[in-house]
Amino acid sequence: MKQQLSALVDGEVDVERCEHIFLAAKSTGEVAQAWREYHVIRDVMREDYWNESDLTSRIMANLDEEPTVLAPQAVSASEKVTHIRPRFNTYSWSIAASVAAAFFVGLFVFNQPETNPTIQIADKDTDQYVVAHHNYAPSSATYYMQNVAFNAGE
Amino acid sequence: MSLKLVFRGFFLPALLLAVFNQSVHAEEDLWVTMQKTASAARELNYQGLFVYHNGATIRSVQITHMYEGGREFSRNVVLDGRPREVFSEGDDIVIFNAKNDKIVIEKRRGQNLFPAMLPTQLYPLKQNYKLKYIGQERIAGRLAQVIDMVPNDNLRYQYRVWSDAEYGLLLKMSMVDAQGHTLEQIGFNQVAMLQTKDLDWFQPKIDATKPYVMDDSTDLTHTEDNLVIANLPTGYKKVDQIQLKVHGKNTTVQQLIFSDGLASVSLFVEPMVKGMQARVGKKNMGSTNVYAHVLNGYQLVVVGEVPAQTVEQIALQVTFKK
Repeated sequence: MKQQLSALVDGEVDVERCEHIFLAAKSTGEVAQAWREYHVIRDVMREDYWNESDLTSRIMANLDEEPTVLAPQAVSASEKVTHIRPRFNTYSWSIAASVAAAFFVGLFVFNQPETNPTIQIADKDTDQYVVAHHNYAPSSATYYMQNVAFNAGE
Repeated sequence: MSLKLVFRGFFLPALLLAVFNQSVHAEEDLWVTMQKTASAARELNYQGLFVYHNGATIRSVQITHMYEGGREFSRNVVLDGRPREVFSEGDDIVIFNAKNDKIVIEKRRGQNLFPAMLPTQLYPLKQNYKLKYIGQERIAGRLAQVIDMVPNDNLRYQYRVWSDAEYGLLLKMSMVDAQGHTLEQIGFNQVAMLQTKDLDWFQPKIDATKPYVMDDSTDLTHTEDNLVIANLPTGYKKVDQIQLKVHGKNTTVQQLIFSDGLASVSLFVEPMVKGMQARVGKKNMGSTNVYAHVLNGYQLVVVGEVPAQTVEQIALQVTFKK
């Protein structure tokens, strides 16, 4: 049953031919739960979590037309989802910076150019860049380090 | 013809040739092992527990990985510290991150998640590392071939790879600096091949009592802006360029990401505006090095899991298109 649901979400199965899946999705809590969870993963990966995909809408519409419909759980799940502000604002950058600061050791300062009014590099000054690097650069190990930095301050 | 002459004229060159051939073959064989190691992590079905060490930091992670119908699925559950689940399907990565009273969903681009740390295209690595066979060791109850990746220059760290003698799966990998200090280490404590083809494990543990929140900042703008020209050390290539928006500012920060196949480096370029303080200097945090300086009215910051001289060289050799 789960495979059939997955295939449905993937658009690999013709919706019209899967009436029994809708019936099952309505009647058994376990499958309905699997359906919802599968959607969370798949939709997020396809970047359409916040706009129900056409297929999903069609399926939900199908469910709605049934007289004994239970509230579709995928809808209730997405209702709970709200957007948060981008991490890249000055406020959270400074938080991330102070968070990560505890882990940074060994500060070395170079000679500064004479003409520019520059300041020396301090721990928290570049932490926002380190966090961004660990977020977006393709490296497995740094992913866990970034995890640590976030964990520490919260 | 004396025996001596025969030896000089024929046997000695033949002997040298044989030795030479053997060493060439040995190195080639090791690259074949590496290729197998790179593929095995992506194509095998397995489940296990691995531990990541970085300085004082230790994290245990439970992994399930499956290759089914040409697609790759994995689920990583971080067992220490804050609950965190990482799902990947191919290059798409979704992270369910418990933060206080809510679950934050983050999206990421493809990363070389353990044990798929070696790139499938080994050519860039062949240009910059020599392989050296160390021997055999037992890791997580499995027999492993131990191979060192020794860099040709001082612009990258050395790596040690433990590859399963039977399946080729990467069992363990460590990063070592020029002084021989281990900077990072990641390896299985236990691992087993999966027989099932069922994907029912590929779902997050949904907590119905908590709100699920999407982290918008992970929606990135990828650009092809060529204003910044990085003169990179041998073997490093630009793999991505993204635009980061800084809230409350009109300017954007460009992040150029480089990689030599294993290590990655980010170059951040931000126009200096009035009131902004320039940052100059360098910093070391375990395997990560940072170098900051100002050029042509731009703040440049280079960050990477590479030696200090590499981030410095990249930062100092940036030029701008006129």
